[in-house]
Amino acid sequence: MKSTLDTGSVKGASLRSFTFRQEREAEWRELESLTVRALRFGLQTLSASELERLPLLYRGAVSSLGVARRTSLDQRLVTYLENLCSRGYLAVYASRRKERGLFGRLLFWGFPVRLIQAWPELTVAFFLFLLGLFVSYGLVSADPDWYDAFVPPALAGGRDPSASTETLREVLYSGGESAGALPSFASSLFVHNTTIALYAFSLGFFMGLPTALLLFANGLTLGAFLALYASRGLLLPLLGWLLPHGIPEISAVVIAGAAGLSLGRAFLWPGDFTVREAVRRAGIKAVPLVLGFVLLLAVAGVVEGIFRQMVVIDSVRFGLATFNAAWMLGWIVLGVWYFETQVRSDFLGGLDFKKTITNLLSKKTGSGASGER
Amino acid sequence: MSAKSPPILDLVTPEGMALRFTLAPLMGRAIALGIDLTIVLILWIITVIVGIIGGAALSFEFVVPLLLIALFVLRPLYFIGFETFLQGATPGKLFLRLRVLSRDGGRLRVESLVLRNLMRDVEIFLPLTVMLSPESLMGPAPMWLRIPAGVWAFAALCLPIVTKERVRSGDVVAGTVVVAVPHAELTRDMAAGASGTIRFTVAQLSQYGELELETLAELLREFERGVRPAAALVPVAETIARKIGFSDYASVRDPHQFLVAFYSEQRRALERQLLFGKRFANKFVRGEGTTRGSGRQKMP
Repeated sequence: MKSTLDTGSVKGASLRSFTFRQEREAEWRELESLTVRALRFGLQTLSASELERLPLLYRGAVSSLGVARRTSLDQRLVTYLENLCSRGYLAVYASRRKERGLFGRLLFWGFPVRLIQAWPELTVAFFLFLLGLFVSYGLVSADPDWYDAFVPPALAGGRDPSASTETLREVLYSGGESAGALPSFASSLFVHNTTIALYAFSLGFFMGLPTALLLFANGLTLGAFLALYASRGLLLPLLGWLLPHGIPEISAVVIAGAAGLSLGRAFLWPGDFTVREAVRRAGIKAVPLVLGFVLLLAVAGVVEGIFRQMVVIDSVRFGLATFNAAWMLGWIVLGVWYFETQVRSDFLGGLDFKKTITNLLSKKTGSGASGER
Repeated sequence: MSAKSPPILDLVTPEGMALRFTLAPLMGRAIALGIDLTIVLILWIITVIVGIIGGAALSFEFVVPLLLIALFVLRPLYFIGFETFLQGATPGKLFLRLRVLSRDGGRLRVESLVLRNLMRDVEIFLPLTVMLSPESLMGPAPMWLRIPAGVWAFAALCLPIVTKERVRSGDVVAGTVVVAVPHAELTRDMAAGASGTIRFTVAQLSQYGELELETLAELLREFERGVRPAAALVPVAETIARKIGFSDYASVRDPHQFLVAFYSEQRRALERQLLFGKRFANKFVRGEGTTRGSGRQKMP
């Protein structure tokens, strides 16, 4: 019980960091429990009053952390506050907010607007596809033996140069599968085409080369097909058979290729941005395109799987093809119109089509499209 | 303290506070993915069973096409849906305490989540398909596409290993980063319980620096948790008393009380110095410029 009192001792002021902690510890504990629930089960498990408390407590913890870093030598306390603030940040900022106009931005007007924005990539993608088409058309027309190089037997299913003209014609007009299995056929077509198209898009990240190859290869297959049927005088019936589903499907493939090329372009020529930032921006612009081409492939799947087998009259087929082209164009026009009139004022740094067109017409350099988020 | 520091991500919050996050370990991410894929597999099986029952009840013609589509969209929808509604986490990530963050500190956009999950197909499932069943892919594409696709896919798998922020191609395209959610545990303040009966002079409190203070705190914590016996405190208390010149040590009955009191007082003294902008990292730094302690070495 002997104590040592020394006239030079430190005066009995309370330990500041200790008092500081005592005053605030309750709030920190409260924030801690809120973040545990928010991070484990989501913000929706918090009550309305808790949701109001959360940002306040978070900011309090952040200021406590600032003070503690400067004035406290209790390392565990500083570490605790660092972790608490990190958790608070995750709970407050890395959380989903209600997004209005998501459908529009991602599909309704997003798809048409981004499509037009991507016209350079679309041109290149279409060119690559056509290149493949013309190459194989020319080769197969000159020498039918080339056919097998471009159309694998599994895909040809007996429709090759060795088949008679009658067999080829039959395929165009027969029911094909039994009527009951048609919807499954449509589904499997959709799944297969969408997988390929998504690969064409995703592989664009790797400098766009795999995408270019895929586009070219698709063109090759189609060109060989066209050449075979043309050589038997069946080109027009073949077009009737192909176009109803082909218009949405080929558009989807070209769009997927264009989206992939936009990723590749961002990778190779990032411009003023870093590669990562350029690729990120290209990715955000590409998502509506992805959703759009998946939709187009769904339509193509239904048409190819069901209607093509059921509808055998050429004029109806061409009518359906025209109808598909029409609503696709209509979607684009409607989407752009909606964007220009309703959305553009809210859309930060949006496009200005009028200015772009005016510039193009008066042959000025530089488009009107400014940087977007 | 671990020998090598874990890779960190520095983020500036909108309040201007610099926060550090530990990047998610690659093994953890792989395990989380494994858990998620297992759940997807279970969901697939459930879907097929429901489909068979539904097909038997209604008609297979009606159910099979829906089943095909459902199985196809299940995997992307699982990942995108969970990462959207759970704020950047899937069940697998929740279990491993990982989270997806937007690299620029802003909110996670739906587009980013769509992108990073679409790219996963290219990184993992494409090489698998190429290796196992290339025929399913090669409808419109010729055979020689397999080789460049394989090379690209392998390059994709290497990305998280070589990049500084452990990003895979999906993270690069989406602008996201995967971090480990920190654990916040507050231990008792070791200065609590200082009775104030033991006092020290200013000179006695000028011997040690922050390193020793923290070491003492850890020792006291371990003692309280029962990891260290009371006997371990005695030599420490004696050494400190000797070094600071605490002449009255013989009257101290409880070394634990002595150490708690010393910790509390030393911390107060050092924190006062902190307010004046003076930091003393350890005892060697404090030894510079004092008349006591001849022959002390200066630490670089």
